Amino acid sequence: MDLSAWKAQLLKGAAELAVLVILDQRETYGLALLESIREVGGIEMSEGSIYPLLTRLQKEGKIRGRWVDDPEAAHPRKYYSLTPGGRAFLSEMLQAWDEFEAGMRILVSDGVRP
Amino acid sequence: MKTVRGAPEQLDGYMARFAASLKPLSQAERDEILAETRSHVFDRAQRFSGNGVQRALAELGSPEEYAERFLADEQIVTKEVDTTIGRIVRLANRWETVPLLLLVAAAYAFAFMMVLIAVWKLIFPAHVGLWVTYEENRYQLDLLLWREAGGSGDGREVLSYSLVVILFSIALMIHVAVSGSLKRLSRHLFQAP
Repeated sequence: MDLSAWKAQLLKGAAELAVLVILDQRETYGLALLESIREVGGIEMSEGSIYPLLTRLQKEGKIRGRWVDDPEAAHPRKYYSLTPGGRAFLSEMLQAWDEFEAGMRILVSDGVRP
Repeated sequence: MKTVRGAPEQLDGYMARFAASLKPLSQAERDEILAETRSHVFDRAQRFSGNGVQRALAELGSPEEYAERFLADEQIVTKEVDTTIGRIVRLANRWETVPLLLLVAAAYAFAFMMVLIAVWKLIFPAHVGLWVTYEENRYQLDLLLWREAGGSGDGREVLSYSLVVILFSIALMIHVAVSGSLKRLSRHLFQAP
């Protein structure tokens, strides 16, 4: 597996966390969410992956979507926000993420170094 | 307000292929995805100079590949609908299959009845069974679900415990036939062109 493929795998696992973290802060629509992930998180997520992810999260009941006649746009936009279930799941994800990050930090700093 | 640059035919052509590839999903789900995709393309196209729509569509990938991402995630959510129940649920989303589904329900109800009678026979072997009697110069075959001891006069039981095997076999054959038909019908209705 080359580096770009490995990074893609890494992103696949983290994308859901990134989306839920942003939606926890504010209600927003798909493209704005994608741009936040890229600009704030520095994570290169493709246009083709954000909407299938949002669709799945909505089906799983973690987020809800509503169409808004956005005055800034010439067309309606679908805005997303976290559900209570999504908020609870995010809390568990963040705990798991902290544990994972702590473990990897120890492994990288104390153990394996190139 | 900025206008979107790009040929509307490009978008319409893309959306038509995209909609066709989303065929396995319900109409409501398809409409939602299509509406959001249009909204995204309009938003994204405004960030580009030149043919913004074309560039926005190129970022999504081919309509078939893009649809596959939604279908792949659908399988994650529904845990693979390649089961009889899953196919029934999916078919029920299409109104034209309702008469067929009523037939399926009737077939399964009949099969269930066969199983119940077979189990009833196992529990009450002396009281349940297929009896033949000779009355008024003709033979009469009756499936009795409760025969009093010593009843049915000169009648005698036929098949005995073989009846249980036959009833279970009938139920099994109905299930195999129905589930096979549903599988073929699902493949025909939900296969992307």
